[in-house]
Amino acid sequence: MRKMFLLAAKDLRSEARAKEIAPPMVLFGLILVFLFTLNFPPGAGQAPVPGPVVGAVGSRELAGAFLWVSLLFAGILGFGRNASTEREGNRIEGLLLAPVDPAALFAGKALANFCYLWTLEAVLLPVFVLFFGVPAGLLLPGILLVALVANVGLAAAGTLFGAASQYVRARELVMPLLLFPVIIPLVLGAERLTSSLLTGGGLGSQSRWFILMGAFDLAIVAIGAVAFEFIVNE
Amino acid sequence: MIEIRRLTRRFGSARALSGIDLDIPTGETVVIFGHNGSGKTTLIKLIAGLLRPTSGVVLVDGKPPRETRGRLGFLGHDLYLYPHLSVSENLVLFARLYDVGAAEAAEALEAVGMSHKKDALVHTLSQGEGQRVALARAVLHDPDLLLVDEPFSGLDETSAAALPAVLKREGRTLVVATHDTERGKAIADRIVVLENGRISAA
Ligand SMILES: Nc1ncnc2c1ncn2[C@@H]1O[C@H](COP(=O)(O)OP(=O)(O)OP(=O)(O)O)[C@@H](O)[C@H]1O
Ligand SMILES: [Mg+2]
Repeated sequence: MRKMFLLAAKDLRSEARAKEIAPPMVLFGLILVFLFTLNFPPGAGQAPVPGPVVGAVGSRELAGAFLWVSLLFAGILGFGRNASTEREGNRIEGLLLAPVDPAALFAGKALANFCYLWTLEAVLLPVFVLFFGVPAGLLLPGILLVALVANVGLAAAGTLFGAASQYVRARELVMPLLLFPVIIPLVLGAERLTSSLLTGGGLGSQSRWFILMGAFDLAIVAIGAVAFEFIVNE
Repeated sequence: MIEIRRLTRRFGSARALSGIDLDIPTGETVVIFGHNGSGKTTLIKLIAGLLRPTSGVVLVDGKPPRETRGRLGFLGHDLYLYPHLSVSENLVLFARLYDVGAAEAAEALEAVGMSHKKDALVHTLSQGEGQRVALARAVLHDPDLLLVDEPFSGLDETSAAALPAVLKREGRTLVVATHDTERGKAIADRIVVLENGRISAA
């Protein structure tokens, strides 16, 4: 546990100086949100009736999907960069040589990714509210719970597949190809929950999505902790 | 005590090492010579447990290398340092990972003569300075087994002359791969020459 925090702190401190991960993530996320806004009719977010605008492009339901697709793509950019700091200079070897449980190596990297996701969301959420004109009062505080449950699984899966794709050619392509199918339940859940918030449905009626996402989080964290050793060794 | 039995390592179809047999008693300094591509780095990484044998075994005190890794020190071609952390931040990180304290990190830095650069970011160091900090990283937990690959390369006269004192310690097993014949011979208890993945002289 202690070593997990040491390793994550190492990444975050390094990033605070180098600014090679979080700023590009945020910038990429902003571009995506902006591009999606172009397809979103002005005022659609403020539709007076809480509830989906049936059949209409530009419903608040769609806005939730736009948000999570933006977060996901920007997140992937960060996961790849975070993983590459250990590939460059074969630094992963230095960590593997130390008497550290590989599960702690995994958890340290995942914790750093988790922090990058929150940073990304801290910028993107307000911008999303602003650009899409959705009422912030509907999103908060529920969106924080949704993000928490989504971030755990995204960070763990991103760490696992980020590491797995480091040693192949075209790693920028391989990582999303591996990652996308696996995280479908997580992204779908986050989208549905966000849509429910945006359409005034709240989270109370959505417990099955939380259960699905929570189960996914547990599974991917467990798999990552066990499998990481075999992925990074040789 | 390191026991190496019929150790073979292939990369694809190329054989980097072919059937090495070697025993290294505890406390001995073995220096490995050999041309580029003769298999020195491969052998050292196999002893460290960073590579797996294609066939054969490596045992460190009767165990697979990864099980005794806390007592192993390793300095390879790569520095294993984080460029945007300072020298001392790097060393303190590794000290904690090896369950020793910041004092040990500072001591190791002193031993390689780099204390004056403790607050410098690693990416601002020269090659030789980086090499010395990496050496401090490799010895800060006072390992019983130290594996070093080309430790003299990139070092100036003074640093190279000071190196044996940092590497050697009573009771420590030391394995050094080098092209520096003179300095290698000076620290060796035993010399092993690799040629095309085989021991040609020992
Ligand atoms: N990762 C690898 N993939 C493919 N071949 C490799 C790999 N590592 C080493 N080899 C091959 O194995 C052989 C031995 O390499 P090794 O690095 O052990 O030599 P060396 O004695 O350390 O050489 P040098 O003096 O140049 O450091 C070489 O022919 C090399 O091409
Ligand atoms: Mg070599």
